[in-house]
Parts: sequence; C-alpha cells; structure tokens
Amino acid sequence: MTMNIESVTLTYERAKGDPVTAIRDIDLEVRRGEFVSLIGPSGCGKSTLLHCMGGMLRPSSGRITVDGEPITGPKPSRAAFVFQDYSLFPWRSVVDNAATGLRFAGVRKAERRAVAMKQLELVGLDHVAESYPAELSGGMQQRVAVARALAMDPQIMLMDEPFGALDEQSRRRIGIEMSNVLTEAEKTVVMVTHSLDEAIFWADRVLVMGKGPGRIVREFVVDAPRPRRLDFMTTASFDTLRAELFGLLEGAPEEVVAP
Amino acid sequence: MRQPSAQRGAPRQRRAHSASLLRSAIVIGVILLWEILVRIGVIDGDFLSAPTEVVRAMADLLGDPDAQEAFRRTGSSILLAFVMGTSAGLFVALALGASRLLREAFLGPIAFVLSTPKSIFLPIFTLIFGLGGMSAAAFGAFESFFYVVVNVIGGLGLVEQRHLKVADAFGARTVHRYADVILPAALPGIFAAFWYGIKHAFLGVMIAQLWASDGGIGPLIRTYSAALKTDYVLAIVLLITIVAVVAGALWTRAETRMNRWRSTGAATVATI
Repeated sequence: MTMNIESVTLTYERAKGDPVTAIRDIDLEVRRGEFVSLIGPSGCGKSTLLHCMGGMLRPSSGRITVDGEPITGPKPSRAAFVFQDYSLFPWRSVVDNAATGLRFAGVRKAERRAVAMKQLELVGLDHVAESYPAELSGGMQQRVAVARALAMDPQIMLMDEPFGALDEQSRRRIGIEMSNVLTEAEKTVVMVTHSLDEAIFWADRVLVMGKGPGRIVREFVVDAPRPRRLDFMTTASFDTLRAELFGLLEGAPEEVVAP
Repeated sequence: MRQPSAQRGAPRQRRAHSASLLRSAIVIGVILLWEILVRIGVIDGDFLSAPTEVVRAMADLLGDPDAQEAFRRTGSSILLAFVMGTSAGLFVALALGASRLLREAFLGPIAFVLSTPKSIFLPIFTLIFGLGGMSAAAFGAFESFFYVVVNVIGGLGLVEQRHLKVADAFGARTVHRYADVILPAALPGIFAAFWYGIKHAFLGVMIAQLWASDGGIGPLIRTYSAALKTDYVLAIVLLITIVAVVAGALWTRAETRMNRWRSTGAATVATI
C-alpha cells in the first residue's frame, strides 16, 4: 500500500465569502507499514491534510491516491480515523461502538461483534465490552476508538491528535501501548500531534508543517526500530531530534509561520 | 468527615420511606375527613359526593355498557388525535431540523401558536367536522402537533456534529445517520414530544367533547353534571386520573430504560 499526495491544495470560503487557502501544493508519499507524524503550529492545516487523506475533505486541486486509486470520499476499510475527542456513541455499548464501521458496512451482528471483541482484546478492553462509554476513563475511551478503527482492518490509520485530551501520564502510557499494538498489527499510521515527544517517539518520519498557507517545510527521519521502549526518550538521538524540532518550531518562526 | 456512601444510603432510604408514609397518611386523612364532613352534613352531598359513593358509582360505570361505549369512543378519538398530531409533528420537525431556511421561516409562528390558548380555534373544528368523533380527534391532533414539533426540534438540537463526523468517517449512509446518530441523540426530545403529544391529544379531545359532541366521556360528564350526579362525575374524573397516573409511570419506566446510557441528567431536553 502506498498513498500518494500530489500537489494538493485546499481553499475554502470564509463566512464573509473571502477565500482562504488552508494547505497549498502538498506532495507526500506514505509507504506501507510506515508511521508518519505531522507537527506544526496551530492552524497550519495538519488536520485539514489528514481529513483530505481520509476523503472527508476534497482538495481544490491536486490528487490523493492509494495504490493508484483516487480518494473521492471516506472509505474506512482503506483509511480509518481516530479523533482527538474519541467521539464514541454514548448510547451504544463499548463492543457496539467498536463495531460501528462494520455495522455501517452491513456485516451481520454476530460477526461484527466477534471482530470488535477481538480488537477490544488487542487494546485490553474486552472486560468492559458491555459497559457504556460514560463508565470509562478518557484513556479507555480512546482505546475503544482505536479498536473501532482497527475493526475495519484499514490499510492506513489516520489519527488526529489522538491523545490530546489525556493527561500527560495517561498520554505517554496509552501512547506507548497503542504504538506497540499498531506496530504489531503492521498498520500504516499518519498521526497529527502537537507534542514533540509523541511525534518523535511514534514516527519513522516527522513532517513539520508551516502555515500561511499550510505546507510541509521539513522532514526528519527517526532512525530507530519500532516498537520502541520508553527509554528511547532518554537517548541522545531522541534529544538531538527533539532540540532540532523545537528550534524549528519555536526558534525560527519565519520558516514555519511565514509564507 | 464524609460518611461512606453505604452509610449515607441508609438514612436516605429511611427518609424516603417516612415521606411515603406521610404522603399516604395525608391522602387517607383527607378522604376520611371528606367522608365525615359529607356524612354529618357540613358538605352538601348533592354538590360533593362522599368518597364511598364515588367508589360505588365507579363500579356502576365500569359495568354500564353505555359508559363503556363512551370510554371506548373517547379512547379511539384520543388515539386517532395522537397518531395524527404526532405523525404530522414529527414530519414537520424533521423537515425543520434538516433545513435552516424552513426553521427560520416557520419555527417562530409555530412557537407563537404554541403559546396561544388553542381552544379559541375549537368552533372552527366543530364547523368543519361537525359533532362526531372526528371533530374531537382533529382538535386533539391540532393541540398536540405544536408540542411535538417544538420538543422534537429541541431533541434534534442535542445531536452533536462530532458524532455525525464519526458516522461519515466510518461510511454511514443516510439511513445510518438517522438510525444510529440522529434518533438516539434526539431520543429525550422525541420521548418528551410523544408524552406531550398524548397529553395534549387527550386534553384536546376532552375539551372538544365537553364543548360539543354527540358521544364519548364529554357528553357523559355533561349529562351527569346537569343531573347533579356528582358521584358519577367524580368517578369518571377518578378513572381518568388512574389511567393518567398508570400511563405516566409506564412511560417514565420506558424512558428510563431507553436512556439508561445517560449517566447524568445533563443532556435532558427542556420541555414545554
């Protein structure tokens, strides 16, 4: 599986009617089994690009293909989303939430629940399958959201600040757990994040986006095998990369912020 | 220091039990006082019959074929009013919910009619439909329609964009958007709409039948009132009250069951 993004630009109209270019001339290739992090200042179009990759937004120009097939709309078996706010359906049990996409795809109840249970086992939540989301912590709800995406057996996982709503400790713990799960499942992942540590820890490549309009300004390769252990964050290579990213995002705003 | 919840629960249960006993004691006390005051002549039995006479009248009514026919006619009129008012209300509310333009154009007038006493329109229904059951049913439907529309729209306001976004991202078709997101999220409003729909259908039918009708409970009450048979009038009122209380309890139970996923009452819809 290879996703190709070719000269993608997305322009939309503000409420007043004036046009705004959210992202311009994005070129990117995401290869099978690769983890890619998108990082950049607020409003640089990271989420917009992710939504274009998942077919939730249609680019104004350029094209996105997966193995040559153009993306024209959402197709969860190709690209499944994990959103920041989990967005589980509170009226459905955990297992039924995990089976949501399969239900929409017309899979029979017994079969979809069996698949959902398998994914819940993978994220360590099979024991709360019949609970409702309100009974779970934020971290558990996000793991259900990951199970919901995994249940579709997607070629690519699109994660939009998936751990942004969690406290620092849960974020790190669940981030490591989920990174291991997705590595073992041999998934391709594109993740939007604001956290430097998360961007480096997760990714094979970190793409830094600038804004005005959104574009990719730098690419960093994280040369360390996955799955990674927590002590990877204490290595010299991690520190060096982190300092470089920090310098780019905080120290040289003209490169990242100005057009 | 705060007590553990198990220890706090025991006094609360005792208090609830005492409140229940106090409530029952007051009701029994009032009924006894009422009976005594009628028996000793302080209250004129022609205007307010004693509770024992009301109970006897109720037994008579339940065995009287004419009364049974009147209840049946009123019941079918209420059911017809509920079905018509709720179906029309649901259809209009979903249309208004789907279109901002329609909502801006019509929600204002609907809210205006909702706040006006609708009995002023009753003569129009009598003129159009005559004195039969259809007139009462149509007026009951008219009464309930506005409450259904406003409550369903209130329920639709509970639908969250993020849930619709998830539905779209996971390949939901239009039918899934309604069945899996919109209807479950709007359920409190829909339940409120149905409850107000049946309540106002009942109210509308009763008003129409009391005003002018050739059958049903309304004419029965008019007849007994004119003949000063207050025991029969009160028996009918009591029967209606029992039906309303039982229906209300069953409804609350069903609503609680359907909404058991809600851990708090924060998202309950405001009802009018």
